[in-house]
Amino acid sequence: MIINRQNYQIWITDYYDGQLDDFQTDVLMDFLGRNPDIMSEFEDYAELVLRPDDKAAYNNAGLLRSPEELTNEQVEHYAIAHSENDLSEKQKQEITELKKTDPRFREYINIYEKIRLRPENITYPYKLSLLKIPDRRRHIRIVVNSMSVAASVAIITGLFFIFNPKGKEPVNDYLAEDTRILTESGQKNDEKVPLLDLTDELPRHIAPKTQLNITVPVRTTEIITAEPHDVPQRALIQIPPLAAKGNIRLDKSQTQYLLAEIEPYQVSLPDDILNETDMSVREFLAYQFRKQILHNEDPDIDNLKAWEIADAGIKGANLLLGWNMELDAIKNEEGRLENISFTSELIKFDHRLKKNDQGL
Amino acid sequence: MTPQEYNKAVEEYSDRIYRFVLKSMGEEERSKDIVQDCYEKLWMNVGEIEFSKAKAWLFSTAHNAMIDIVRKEKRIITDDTPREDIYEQGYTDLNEILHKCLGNLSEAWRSVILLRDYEGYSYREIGEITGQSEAQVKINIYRARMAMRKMIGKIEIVV
Repeated sequence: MIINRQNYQIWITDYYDGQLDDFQTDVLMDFLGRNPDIMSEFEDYAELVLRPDDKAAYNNAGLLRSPEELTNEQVEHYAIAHSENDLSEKQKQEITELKKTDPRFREYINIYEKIRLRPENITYPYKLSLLKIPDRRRHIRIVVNSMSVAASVAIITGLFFIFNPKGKEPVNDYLAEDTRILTESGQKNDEKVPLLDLTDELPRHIAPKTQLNITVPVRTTEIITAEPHDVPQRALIQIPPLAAKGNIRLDKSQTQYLLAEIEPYQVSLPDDILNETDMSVREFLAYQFRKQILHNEDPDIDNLKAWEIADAGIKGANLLLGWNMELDAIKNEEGRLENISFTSELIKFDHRLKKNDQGL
Repeated sequence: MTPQEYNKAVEEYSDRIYRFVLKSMGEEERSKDIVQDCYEKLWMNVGEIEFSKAKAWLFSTAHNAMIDIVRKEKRIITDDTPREDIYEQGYTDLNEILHKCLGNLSEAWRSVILLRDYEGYSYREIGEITGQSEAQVKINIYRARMAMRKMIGKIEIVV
């Protein structure tokens, strides 16, 4: 700031407050030399500065306190400040002296130095799932995931053809010539009922000896298969028309035949499943998927989860390509899926599931 | 922050954040979710946050997430009365006793004590994380320490 006649008072005030350095003082003095009228004002200003009255004194003897008069809470406060390193060096020295004479200081300082938490050895278990994969690895991961999906589709398609060996051909072609269809009233009905011929596809050790005579209710119509002598070594299984939606249920016999298709040498279901009066197609598929493809020792019939299909895909890719990928699903004690981890030679990742991710 | 620095932040701080949240909340599953959310947010802002500030940012985000939950559930625990059950439960190690006492503190006190003792943060840094003034942090720490001392009760255990 350049001194002039408008701001010289600020300079004078700063001068008497000791705020001006040597150079600024010279500037002020030079200005005053050139403005003698202001010089007198400058000299008068000195008279306006108050000086402490040395004669005024207060008898403070009554205010003085000794450390012994400190309450426990105050001592405690000093002890905390000491342990928190909030004291200046001088204060620390003073407290050190007090520790020697006042046992309360010793005690509380000792206590508060110990009341400090030591970190427990706790680690975040899903650290890997937080890491971000570099671009190159991400591309590999996308390729692997795509292959897994493709393999899953292949498996599902395969399953479909296992259960529907003649799926592409019209089922009506397999109507037995002398199949009788009776209505509830016992009258003959010419309505054609779709039949599924499984004779050629039945396991060899069953088909020749088995003479099936299965009755399946279709709406209000009762269907009776042909007499064994009319269709030697042929068996017709009739299934109700499949609706596009809804939970279609299979009875025990149908379940056994479907099972015979995919597992010729073990045509029985475990007791707990067999004891059920019937099971839905979905449950059957889920059970067989887990048992045959995922090789679960104790498969259940709950809905298939996305990760199980992906796991099947990965297993399929391993078989086809000789890779060694693995998908692990970790459940907690309550059976809730907690974490899915993928390992392979190239990449490895963890995905921790939140509570609302259970659809996986 | 680069993706590499983000991964470094995961390696270096995820355990600390998890420990802080777990000790503050006491709920394992929810703590894991909060850590995951914090890092998701960090990744979303990876270009804007400097690595040098990532740790404080993560603690601050985790703390805010906890406060939201506390407010939502209106959980208020302020209790500094001595707990005899601490001894009845057979805790003998002082650190165990202290952690038990920590669980009885209010959320506000617990957070500042954890940040101070576990992470060694200064009053100013704790203030930045928790949104309190430096003076308020200091007062909370002092009060929390006194409360813990009272909870321990039996001084001969500590001395």
